[in-house]
Amino acid sequence: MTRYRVAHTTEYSADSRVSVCHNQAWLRPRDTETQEIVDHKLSISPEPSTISWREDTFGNHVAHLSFSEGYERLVVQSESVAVVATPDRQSVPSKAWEQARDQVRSGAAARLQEYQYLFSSRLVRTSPEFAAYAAQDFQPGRTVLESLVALTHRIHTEFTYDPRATTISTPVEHVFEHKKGVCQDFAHVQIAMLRSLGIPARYVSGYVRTGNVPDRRDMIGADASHAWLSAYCPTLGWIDADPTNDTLTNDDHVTVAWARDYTDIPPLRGVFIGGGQHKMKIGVSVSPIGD
Amino acid sequence: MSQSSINEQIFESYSAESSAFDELSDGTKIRAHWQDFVDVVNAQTLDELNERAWTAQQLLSENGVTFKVFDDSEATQRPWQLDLLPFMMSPEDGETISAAIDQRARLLDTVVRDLYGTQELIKSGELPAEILFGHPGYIRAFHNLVADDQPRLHYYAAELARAPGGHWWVMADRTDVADGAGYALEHRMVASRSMPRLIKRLNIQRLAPFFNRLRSSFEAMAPRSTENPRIALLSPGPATPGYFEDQLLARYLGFFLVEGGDLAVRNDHVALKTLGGLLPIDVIWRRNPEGFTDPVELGGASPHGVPGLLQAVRAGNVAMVNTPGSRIVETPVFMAFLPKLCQHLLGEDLRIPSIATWWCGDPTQLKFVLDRFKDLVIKPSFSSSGSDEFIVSTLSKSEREQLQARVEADPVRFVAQEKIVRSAAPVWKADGIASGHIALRAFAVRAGRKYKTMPGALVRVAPTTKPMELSMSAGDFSKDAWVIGTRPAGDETLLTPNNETIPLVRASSQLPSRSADNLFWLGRQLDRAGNAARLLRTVAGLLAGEDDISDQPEMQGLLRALSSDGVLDAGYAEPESSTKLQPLESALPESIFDRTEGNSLRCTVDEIFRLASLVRDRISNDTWRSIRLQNSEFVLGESANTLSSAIESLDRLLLGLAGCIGLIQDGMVRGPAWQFLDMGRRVERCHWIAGLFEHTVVNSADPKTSNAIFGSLVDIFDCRITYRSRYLSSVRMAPLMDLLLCDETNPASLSAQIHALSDHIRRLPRESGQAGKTPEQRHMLTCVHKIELADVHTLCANPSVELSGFLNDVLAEVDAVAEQITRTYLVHSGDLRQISDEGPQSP
Repeated sequence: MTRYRVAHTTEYSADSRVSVCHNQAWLRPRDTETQEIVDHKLSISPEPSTISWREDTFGNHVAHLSFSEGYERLVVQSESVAVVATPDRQSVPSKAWEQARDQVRSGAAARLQEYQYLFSSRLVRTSPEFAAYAAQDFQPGRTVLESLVALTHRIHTEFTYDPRATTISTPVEHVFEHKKGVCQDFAHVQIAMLRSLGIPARYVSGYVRTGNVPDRRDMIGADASHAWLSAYCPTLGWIDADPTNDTLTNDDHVTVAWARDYTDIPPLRGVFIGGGQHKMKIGVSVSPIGD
Repeated sequence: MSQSSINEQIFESYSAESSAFDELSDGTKIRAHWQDFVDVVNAQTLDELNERAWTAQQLLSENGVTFKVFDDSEATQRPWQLDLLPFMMSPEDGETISAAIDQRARLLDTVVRDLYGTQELIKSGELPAEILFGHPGYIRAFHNLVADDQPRLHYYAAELARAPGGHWWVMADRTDVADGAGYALEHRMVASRSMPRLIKRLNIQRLAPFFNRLRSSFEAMAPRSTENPRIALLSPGPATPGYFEDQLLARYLGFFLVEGGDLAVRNDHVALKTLGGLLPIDVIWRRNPEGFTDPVELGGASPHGVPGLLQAVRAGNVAMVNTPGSRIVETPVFMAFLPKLCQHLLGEDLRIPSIATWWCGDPTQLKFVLDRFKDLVIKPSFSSSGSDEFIVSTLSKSEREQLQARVEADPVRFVAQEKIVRSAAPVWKADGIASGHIALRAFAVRAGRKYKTMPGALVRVAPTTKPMELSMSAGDFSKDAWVIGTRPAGDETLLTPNNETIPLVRASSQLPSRSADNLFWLGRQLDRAGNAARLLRTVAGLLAGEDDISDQPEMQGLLRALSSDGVLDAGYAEPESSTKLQPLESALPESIFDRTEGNSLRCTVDEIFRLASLVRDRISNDTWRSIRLQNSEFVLGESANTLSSAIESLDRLLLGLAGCIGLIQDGMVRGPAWQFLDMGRRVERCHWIAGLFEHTVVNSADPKTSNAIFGSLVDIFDCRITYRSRYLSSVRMAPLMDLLLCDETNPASLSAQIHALSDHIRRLPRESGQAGKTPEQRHMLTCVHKIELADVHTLCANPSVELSGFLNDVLAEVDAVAEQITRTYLVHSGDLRQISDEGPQSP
């Protein structure tokens, strides 16, 4: 078990005054089977006119913020203390992937929470090409867990990390064709493959501790927000895999939210009036702390 | 002539196609509920009936009833065609439909609430999970908008058809926007004028009680307990097909007609931007699709949405008709399940069945569909009915095979429906009666725990038995539907019963900023058209006169004034270049009516019409009709002499515009709407007077020309009589300048405009507690001082310096006032922009 302090700061500065702004923020990490959120604080400057919290249909915490008094500089700082454990994937055997697939399909009514992650979503469309690519790792009779590890490794190997190759709106087909992108692209591609095979797969947003960063709380900006995916096995439950780092998730990963794809849970999105040119700065730090 | 022979004349051309149900006759005799109407028709001659048909069409076109049809990227307005003959419905038909619509609306509401609530229907297997989770119209943000026990469907429409056996079928549901009731209302208004007294004599059920009920239902939804809840009809705007209906309904029901940009969400409350500030709105009747309600949560920079609106609904501060989410059940896939769901949820059969529908996602149903593929209609499961349909029998062999392959490749996304032969009813043609096929759209509003159905409908008519598209624009023309009452119809109208005392209200500042903006520009354009017409008429008169153009020294100044406003090609203002152009005699009439030149008089008249159509809810019916008439009648006459026929057109236009202005001045309440319109006129008039003096008096200081200029100014300002009564026949510029610039008692003078503007500015609503003079008031004061201190003799002595300087100073202040008004009252929002994250980037 590792205890972390995570700080995620987003700063918008505008040329001229923004008169009105409405936002949604998926910044407050959720509790999971292997993660407990001990403390969370959202500090916003200027003070928003309204702020309200609710749970979205995927069970994530979402904040609605509005600013009617206007601002020139907006800073949203999310600070959490999270206790994270590495998931146990050994004590229960995983199922052969075809059985897993058939079980999800036939038992849909009883498993709506999982079943909903089989379908195309705004950024992730299923197709036979994706299924064909993944079939090499999803051999007949192989378990979901083994197949997932193999596919994750292959994507890590065959795709190149290149922040200039894509933007948040690059279609998953484009990423698949050029085999280049960033963590969220790899997650989306792998989700598309899993769904195309009939395995429920969801997108997970969060943070990862990068080993090369010293444990210093003031190193804001050394880390970035991260994304990976999760695949469903009826016996093991959800298995999180991180293709960017070629690993199943462990106690280096802090989960914020999950949903069908990025567009369901962006850290911050909104609509504003006024403001001229905008600049955005994001800083993330993930620091282990003692008890 | 005996009764029967007239009957033969008029009805002999009618015969219903044998495969269809005949609405008029049971094969041997006229059906009872048509008999009285048929007798009335038979008692009239063809000519009389044609005249009534003409009257009806005339009324529709005067009321500006159109339905915009978008073809090839270009928006065209198609005139709405109304058949003279109504569609007669028996009391039994009325009751059958009413009960069935109530049942169906309750069923659909229950289904929507479940899908956006606990999803028991999916968990229990009544509905397959993939039709929800695979549905592109299932939008997670619509969960938890209202409490689970609250209705989501408040207003509903169903498309009906009568099959050959005489039974009604539901062809499609409309649960999102459900448009069309406004057209039914308009039909009834027209019918009651083209066939006066008949509606009462035949005891036809009135529509007003339905709209009354609609209004009280919507009022009851207001979250705030208040005497007079404010209801806004949120329209997707004038560029969309149904804008006419949005305007009509808002005007008839007394709702605020707004577009997305007119509303603002502050502290999770919705408010209308008005001149007096933000006005709380309690209920929104949404006429734009649910996917475009809130750009924050639903994405896209849709100009029709309101940022933060969904959160305001969640917070319970505003109610919406219909609650977003209701659209999903109007997609055809649900029709395949409704019979079963009706049993499951209500414990009864559908009172009017849906057209037989098979969902191809079910293997048994798919097999059935493929076996009889060529007899069916194939539709996408998840798009609202009416788009992208295939009537298999009309496809070529290869098209059919392609379609079949698409269905088999992705069966979940398709449904198949039976074809139906719609019933036939009499329709009016100029030479008698023919038959047409009927599609009926019925409307219902939630009233307590049930739904009240409108005793009438929008009926659309197609010439053939072919399956008809289900969109509003389908069919050749429309009919009013008359439901015969079982007891005499009451006289209910939308006026409040007079036993209630309601608080008296005078002019208020609740004018939406957008309307104020449009009224301001309507005023400017009205004045601009009159000024240009007057000047053009004077120039045309000079050209048509006997004098050679070189003997008309004032001409150059007038042409400069015209060309500086863009009314005429600038080349004509310069003597050198004008010789290279087409002779002015033929160019002038052409440029007046040139629609390709944005500043031509014709374009100004078009713009008047466009602006007036946007503020129809603010101007009287007669004003609107008068403006409409100017717009349609301002064309170049047929006469061989184009110059004289142009003069005639200008004369007619000037009289017509004077009529419009008269109606506005006499009929419009002196509130902010009139104020903004009048301010627009005043600002425009200041520009015109100053411009005219600049181009004539200032720029033609030559004493030889001053007599001629004097004459044309007197002529253009139409002030010969006043001048003569004051100064007899002495032709002097200083007294004329006094009359036209400085004399406040002359309503056409510059001074009169400035003083009127100053009055308006003083009366504009201001934020309470604001001390001192506003910027526009300060500019106005400077302007008034300049006018009052002006000395015409000085101005006249040295026009190129004194007069020019004076005019420039006055105009600068007027422009500053206009700009300040725009900033303070008219511009409330800029463009919406999206904040988005760059997305996670970590390696």
